[in-house]
Amino acid sequence: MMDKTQKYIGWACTYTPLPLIEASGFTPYRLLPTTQAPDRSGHKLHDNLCPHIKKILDRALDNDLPPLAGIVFVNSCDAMHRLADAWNQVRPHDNTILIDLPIAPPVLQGPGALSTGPIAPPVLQGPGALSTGPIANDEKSVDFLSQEFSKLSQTLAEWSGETPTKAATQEGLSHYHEIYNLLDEIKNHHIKGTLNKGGAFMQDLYNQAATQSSTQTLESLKKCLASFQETPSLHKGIPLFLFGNVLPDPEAFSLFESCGAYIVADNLCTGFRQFAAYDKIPPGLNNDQDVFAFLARSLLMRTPCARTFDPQKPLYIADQLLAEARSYGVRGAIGHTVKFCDPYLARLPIIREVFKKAKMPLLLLEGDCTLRSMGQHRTRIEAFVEMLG
Amino acid sequence: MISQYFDSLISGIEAKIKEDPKAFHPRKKYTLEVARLGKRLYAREGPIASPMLQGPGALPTGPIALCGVTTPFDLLNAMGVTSCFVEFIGALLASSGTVAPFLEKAEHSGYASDSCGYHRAVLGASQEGLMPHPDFLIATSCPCSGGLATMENLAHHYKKDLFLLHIPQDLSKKNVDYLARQIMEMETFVTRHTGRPLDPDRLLKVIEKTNQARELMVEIYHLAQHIPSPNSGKELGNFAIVMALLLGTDAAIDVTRAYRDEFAARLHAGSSGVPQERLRLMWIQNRIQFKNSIIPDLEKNYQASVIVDELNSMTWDPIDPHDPYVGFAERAISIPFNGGVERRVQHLKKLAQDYKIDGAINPCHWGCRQGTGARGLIEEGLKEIGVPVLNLEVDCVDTRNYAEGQLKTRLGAFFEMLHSRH
Repeated sequence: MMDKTQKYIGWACTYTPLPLIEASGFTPYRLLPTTQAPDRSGHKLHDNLCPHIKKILDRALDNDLPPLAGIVFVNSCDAMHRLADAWNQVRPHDNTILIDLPIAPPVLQGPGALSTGPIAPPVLQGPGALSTGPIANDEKSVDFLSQEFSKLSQTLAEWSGETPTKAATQEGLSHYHEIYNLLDEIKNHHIKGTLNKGGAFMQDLYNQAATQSSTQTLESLKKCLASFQETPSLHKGIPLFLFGNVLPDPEAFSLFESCGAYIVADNLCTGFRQFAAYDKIPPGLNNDQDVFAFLARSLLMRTPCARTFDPQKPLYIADQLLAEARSYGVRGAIGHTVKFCDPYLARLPIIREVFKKAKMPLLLLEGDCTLRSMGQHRTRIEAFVEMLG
Repeated sequence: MISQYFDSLISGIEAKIKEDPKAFHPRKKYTLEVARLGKRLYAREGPIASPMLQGPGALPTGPIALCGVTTPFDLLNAMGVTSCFVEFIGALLASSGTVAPFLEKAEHSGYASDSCGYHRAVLGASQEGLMPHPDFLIATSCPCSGGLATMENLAHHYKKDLFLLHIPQDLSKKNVDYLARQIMEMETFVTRHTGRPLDPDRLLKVIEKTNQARELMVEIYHLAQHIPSPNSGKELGNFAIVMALLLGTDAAIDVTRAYRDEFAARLHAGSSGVPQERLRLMWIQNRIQFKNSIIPDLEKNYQASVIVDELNSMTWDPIDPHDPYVGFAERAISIPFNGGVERRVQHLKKLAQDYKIDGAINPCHWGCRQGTGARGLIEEGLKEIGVPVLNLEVDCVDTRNYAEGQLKTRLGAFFEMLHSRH
């Protein structure tokens, strides 16, 4: 249910800095690809584009949206950029902004890493030469994204007519940090099996936190924890780790459970990863620049989407996902990706190889953001669970 | 195997040029330079038994880099590095008719058939040991996410260092400076891997050649706008994107001068690229890389000539030899595939107006989320200025699902409609 007193800002990519939106007096509203709107986006874009994007555009074409004061897009992949392009055409009167996003996280590590010493000066200098010398390699992505966030903050201020105060910014950060902590606590109960409410309940919490104000989210999360009574685990499903991109429908998790699986934890764009950047709020964020730099660093450093990678550790995502799966003590993993998602499609072969070498059973599924596509996978999920049983 | 293919191609073209040394032979010279680049890239064909560096700074065959499309190749040429964007290899494999087994190899390894054929081709070729063996790799965030992912896979496959250039979206000073700094770091990265620092005098000469080739390209494009056009459907196919690999070399000047002189001579003689040119067409995105009869068919049956390709235009200013990194950065940011689709549509509209285009063909390369993803938006944009677009459904690299008969039926209907507007 939409709160008519809120001023919503739409967002679609988990690299969006939610506290900045909140600090400007808006409520970040995730444009989830769940809709009954007819499929019409293919003629604006192309049928072989990511269904996540197409479903969101279908919502825009069908006006299946709350009133939005603006939309924040992130240039995280080709499909997201095309969404911004198409949105501007189908809803030309909406306020929109596109944030550019570096590819690499800020920390360079591992064999072959460039030395962190100063970069050699340019060979040629003189009139018109760059005014500032090269910045340290491990900071340039943070520096770039900080400036993008500064631009976002100014744009949000224009949209709201008010410049965010320092107190509002601190409150935005602190709210999302608290949301992180509360979700983490509930998630840990779910992982232990003592929550006994199933994956659909967790996904519903994530969806609420992504679409309502932080105040409302905090209230409902606190209520959830206040009513929580630790009980012995009742679930009997095979414990599995779920990773991939977009799977926002809580019913999908019920479907997994009906197949005999228990999704212990996830690494999805629509799951806990949405809030993973707000795990720590360091002291001493004294001015806007500190806040922008902090958010830039946190978002680039948090568990990455497949589109973000460290060139010093190519395809490290496979090892990262395996380590994460192992950390939950699961018996296997399910990778669920939406069709036509280039960032994941190109990394799945190495993920499959690494999991196979590590003898971690893996089931790869492809979907289109509808339950119908998940339903088609029921037999495969049941067979996978049976094999692990 | 591939090296022999290039040897044979080179000797064949050289013989033909020798037969009539006074002719300009622009396309032959272009193909010759492509083949020579291919030969250099595959000079170390087969497993490398010895380390790249033997003795202080010595390289047995010269360093080789696999790159993204918007890498400053003239800077690499100045540093003695033989390089190409990886899609160039995908196109070569397709044009030589050898691509299918590599696509199949990639698909059997788990790379989805829904993804870009250029990238599947090079991933398959790398697994079969038939890609040039790189000493290092340079990825660029533009033009596409799929290309970046391919570069990451290749770096992992070859266990070679990867440098990443993040190409920002617009030409603001902040963005240009940011990319210029990355290119400086790239230069340092290359030096570390080759043991050869950049020679400033050599860079100055290379930039002079880049600018010379640029001026000739501007002249070529200007001449091609003439009615009727001296250009014909195949002559400038893949031209600008491949010329980027040769920038800073004598080869780039030789090829561009040959085109300029040939087009000028045709105009002087009152001849056109396609006899009795009736329809002037624009080709969007990239060409179909394998052998096909579409272009000759539309020239012969409809007097329709593809006189401009989307990328055959000059979007960048001459590089300032005293501040080259800024020029390299501006050039990379300026390509039509970068930034929002609105900018791309404006670029296409300008081309359509400059060349007085009757219609446009978009192959809608299957699996290209960057280019094809904006298909409908481009179509609507060009419609605003009265230029109809024919959207095809072709994988420009993969011959396996290519149905030329169906395409020709659609082309026929499109040209009938265009003729009826005349």
